[in-house]
Amino acid sequence: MNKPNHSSSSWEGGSAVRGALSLGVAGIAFAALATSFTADVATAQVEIHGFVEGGTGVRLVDQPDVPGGADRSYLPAAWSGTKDFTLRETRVQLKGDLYGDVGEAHFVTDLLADQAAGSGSEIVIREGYVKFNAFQDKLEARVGRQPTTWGTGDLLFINDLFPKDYVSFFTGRDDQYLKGPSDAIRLGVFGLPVAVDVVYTPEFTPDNLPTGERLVFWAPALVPVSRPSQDLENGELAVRVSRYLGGFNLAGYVYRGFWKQPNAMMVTVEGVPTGFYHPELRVYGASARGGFQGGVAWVEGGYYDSSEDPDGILPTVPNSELRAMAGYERQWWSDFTGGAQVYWEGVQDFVENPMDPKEENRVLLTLRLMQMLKYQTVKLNAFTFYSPTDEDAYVRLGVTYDYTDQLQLNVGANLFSGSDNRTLFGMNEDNSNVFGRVRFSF
Amino acid sequence: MRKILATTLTAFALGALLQTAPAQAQPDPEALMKDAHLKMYYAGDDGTARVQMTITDKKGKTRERDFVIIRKDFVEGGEQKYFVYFFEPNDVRRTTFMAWKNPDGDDSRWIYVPALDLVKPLSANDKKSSFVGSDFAYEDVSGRHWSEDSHTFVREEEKDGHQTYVIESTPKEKDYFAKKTTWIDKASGLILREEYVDDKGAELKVFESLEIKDAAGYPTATKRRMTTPRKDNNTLIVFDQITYDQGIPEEIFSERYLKSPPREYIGQ
Repeated sequence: MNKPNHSSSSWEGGSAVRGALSLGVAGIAFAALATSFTADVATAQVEIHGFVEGGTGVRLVDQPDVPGGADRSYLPAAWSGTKDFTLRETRVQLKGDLYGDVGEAHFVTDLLADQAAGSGSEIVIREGYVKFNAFQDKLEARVGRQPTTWGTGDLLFINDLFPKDYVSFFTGRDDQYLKGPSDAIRLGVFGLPVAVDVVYTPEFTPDNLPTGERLVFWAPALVPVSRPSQDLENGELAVRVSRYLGGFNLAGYVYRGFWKQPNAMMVTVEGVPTGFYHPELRVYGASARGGFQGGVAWVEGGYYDSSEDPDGILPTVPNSELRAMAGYERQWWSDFTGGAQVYWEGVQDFVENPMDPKEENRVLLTLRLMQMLKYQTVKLNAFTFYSPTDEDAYVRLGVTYDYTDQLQLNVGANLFSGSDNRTLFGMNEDNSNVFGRVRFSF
Repeated sequence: MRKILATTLTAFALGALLQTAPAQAQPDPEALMKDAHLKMYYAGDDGTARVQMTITDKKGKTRERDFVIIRKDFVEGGEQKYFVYFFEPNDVRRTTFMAWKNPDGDDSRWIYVPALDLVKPLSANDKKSSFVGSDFAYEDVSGRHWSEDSHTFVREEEKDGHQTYVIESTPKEKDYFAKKTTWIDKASGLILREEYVDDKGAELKVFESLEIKDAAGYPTATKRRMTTPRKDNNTLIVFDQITYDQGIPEEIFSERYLKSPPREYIGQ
C-alpha cells in the first residue's frame, strides 16, 4: 500500500493497447501450441469455466464535497462520474485452460458492463499466457499477460512492484482484482542452490489509482500525467532469488523500473508545474518468512533508490526511501485466524516541505481477523490499516456466504477516515462505501 | 444373499474356533493401531488418487469437491508431504495446496491462489480445523498418530460383515475428545470404524470405511465417510484412479510445483 499520487490516465485507458500486445504474444504462442495439438490432438484438453457476477456499491457520504468546496479540493475536471455509486457493474469472466504436450495456455477474460464509471462496456483480458519448460525442466517460461505476486506482506508490498489496482481494491471488487496483470516474460530457473525468477515487462505498467471517475481524490492542481515512453529501455525488470532454509523461505529482490505512482512533477524553468510523471526507481530488498510459534512470521525490507534524485536535492522528484515490515499470523482457534503487521517508510535526506504532507517517517499498522463458520461456507473478514503518523485509517469489512458451490453472496464495507485530506486514507474519506456482490460460478 | 450367508457362516465358524481355542495372549493394541495407521496413511512409498468429496448438511444440501491428492512418505509413520490440486468447485479450480507433515511439531502448509499468483503459508498449529469445509479435519486426512493416545484392547467382534479388533484409545494429553473406539478390519488391517466421544459420552464424530478394495496391490479404503452427529453433517470421500509407488520425486512438493502443478501426476 504505497502512497499514491494521481494519474489522469487510468489503467483501463491503456488496456486496449496492452491487450492487443498481449493478444499478439498469446496468439503466437497459441499457434505454437496448436501445432503440437495437430500433432497429437487427443492429448490436447480445453476447459472453459468462469462466473457471472453483479455488484453494487454505494458511497456512504451523501454527496461528496464538490470541487471548490471549503474543506477539500478535488480535481475538478475529473469529477464526472456517478456520484452515488462506487460500484455498479455486471461482469462475465471466462477462463480457459489448454493443456498440450509441449506446454499450457491459460486465459482469463472479463466482459464488463460498468455503469459506475464513464467507460461503459469493455473487454478486459486479465490473463493470456503460455507456459512451457525447457532444458530438462530446469527453465520454466511464461509469456504473455499474467499476474505476478511475490514478497511476504499481507496486503502490504515492498518488493512486489507488479501493478496493483487500488480502484478495485477500494470499491469492493473481488480480491483477485487487486492484482493487475502485466504483459511480461517470466522465467524461472531451477536446479540451482537458489530458485531464480526473472520478470521482464517490456512496457511499464503503473498502478491503477483513483482518477476521480468513480473515486474522489486530492490533487493540488489539474495537471496531466505522462508515462515513460515505450522504449525498450523503459521496460521493467524484476528479479527474485529464493530458497528454503530451515523452514524459512529466504529471498532477495532487485527491481529496475519506475515508481508505480506518478509522484514526480514536471516543471517549466519558471517552476510552473506542467504535469506528473513516473520517475526512475531501483529497489533492492530481502525477505524471510516461515513458521514461528505455531503461526507464520515474516520480515521484509527494501531500499527504494530514487535514481533521478539520489541525494534528495530535487524537490520535484521523490527522495529515496527505506521500507520495512514485520508480520505475524496464526490460527488462534479453529477456523479463526488473526494477524498483525508493522510497516515503516523512512524518507532519506528528508527536508520539511510545508506544501507536502509527507513526513520523514510513515508507520502503518494492520490487523486481520478472519472467522469461518458453518463448515467454512461463511467467512467474516475484517482488515484494518491504521497509520499513527498520517493519522488515518482504512477498515475493510467483508462477509462471504457460499450458498451453494455455484452461488456466492458477498457484502462488505470500505471505511476510510483521516483528518488530512492529503494522506492516503484521509483523501478517501468521501469514498467510504458499502457493497454487495452476487456471483454464479460455472 | 448367498454372500451374506457365507460371510455369516464364516463368522460363526471363526467365532466357534475362537471359543474353542485355548486362551490366547491378547493382541498388542499399540501394535495393532500402529499397523492400521501405516496401512491407512502410509501405503507404499507414495500414492496418488482422484478424490470426489461430497459434504451433506442437515437439510440434505450437498457440496462437492473434486481434487487430486499426491502423497510421498519419508519416514514410515513420520514425515510425509502432500500435494492437492483442485478441479472443483469451479471458483477454486487450479488452486493448489501443499502440506509437509511433521509428527513432532507443527505441519507446514501452503495454498496457491492462481488468480493472484499468490503463495500463502497457512498457520498450521490447529490440526482440528476443517479440511476444505468438510467433516474431515486436517488431522483426519493424514491420520491421528497412534503415539498420541493410550490404547486398550477391548474385544474382537464382527462389525458390518468384517471380523474386527476393537480398541479403545484415550488421548495422552488433553484433547478435543475423551475417548476413541476403533474397529480394525482383521482381513485388511485397515480401520473400519472410529467413534470419537467427549467426556460425557456424547458422539463427536464417526469415521467409517465403507468400501475396502485392493488397489495397485495395497488394501485401500476407497470410500470413507466422516459424520458429525451433533450437526447432522457428513462428508463422503471416494478415491479413484489410485496409484502407489510411482517414484514421485520430492521436488514436486515445492513452491515451484505449487505454482505449476505437475500434470503427469494430476492427470485429467
